[in-house]
Amino acid sequence: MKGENPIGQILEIDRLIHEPSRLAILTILFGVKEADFNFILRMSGLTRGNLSSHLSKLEDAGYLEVKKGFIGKIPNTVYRLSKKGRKSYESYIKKMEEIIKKRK
Amino acid sequence: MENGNVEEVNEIRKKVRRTWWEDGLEEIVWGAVLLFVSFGWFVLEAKMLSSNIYRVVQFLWAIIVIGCCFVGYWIHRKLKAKYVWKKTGYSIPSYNKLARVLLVVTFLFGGFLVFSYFLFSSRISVLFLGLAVFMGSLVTFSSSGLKRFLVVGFFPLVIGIVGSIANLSLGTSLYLMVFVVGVVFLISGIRVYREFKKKVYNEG
Repeated sequence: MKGENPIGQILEIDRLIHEPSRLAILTILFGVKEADFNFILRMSGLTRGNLSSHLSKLEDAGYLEVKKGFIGKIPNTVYRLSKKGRKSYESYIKKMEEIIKKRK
Repeated sequence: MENGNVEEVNEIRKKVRRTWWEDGLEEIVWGAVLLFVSFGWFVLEAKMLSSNIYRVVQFLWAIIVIGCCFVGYWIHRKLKAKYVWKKTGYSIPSYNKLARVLLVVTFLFGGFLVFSYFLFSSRISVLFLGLAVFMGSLVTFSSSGLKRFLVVGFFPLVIGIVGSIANLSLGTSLYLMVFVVGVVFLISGIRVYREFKKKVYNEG
């Protein structure tokens, strides 16, 4: 079965999350209830364009919830992990840890 | 795939959790709240109010303390919006794991206190009180990785040990702990905020 084969396990990894920039974004959002674009930008060190592109991909996949609101009088777009995103992220991390453990 | 990937993920998580405390505002606000509560306690204990007002305040004391916590939370959010989020971006920490741990600590605290108060002398209660507050600081340290929270917890632990030896009452020990933690939070918070302001506002 693919799942028992170590190569198979690697091939089953969620490629959307596995991309380093998106992994960083999801890790940042996993540690917060919600955060805006500037916070994720500061934490990730990505460029604005790059971050925007990755956030769109994650939103399209249903991993993020996006909420437009205000902080005081200033409009603000806030991101948080959806239930699907949280579950997928946790599953990805668990899979990675298993693969690394087996490698040892 | 390297080992470093999972370790880097853990490092990012710690760094994200730490951002909530990087400006020192939480400590300033809660330090002020604790000092206000300890001052109110002192006024109550010293019976500085007229007897009618004293009875009302004593009756409503728990509600007043909870009210102070809500006011503190509201002030903290306002200060964050005005002085911090404009520069660092907006975030609200996730409390899921931390909240669960704190809940367990609170139940342990309540359990130890009740258990020790009824079965042992108040000396043991005072010691457990100091230990419980220190446990709380350990939780915050483990979550944030910031050593200053260990320092904050050290004082109630010492008060608990000294209070236990000197046979202080539970009320007096609690008052001293609240006062000392309030002062330490305020001093630490102001120092951290000054460094934060230098770093963030100078970066432009």
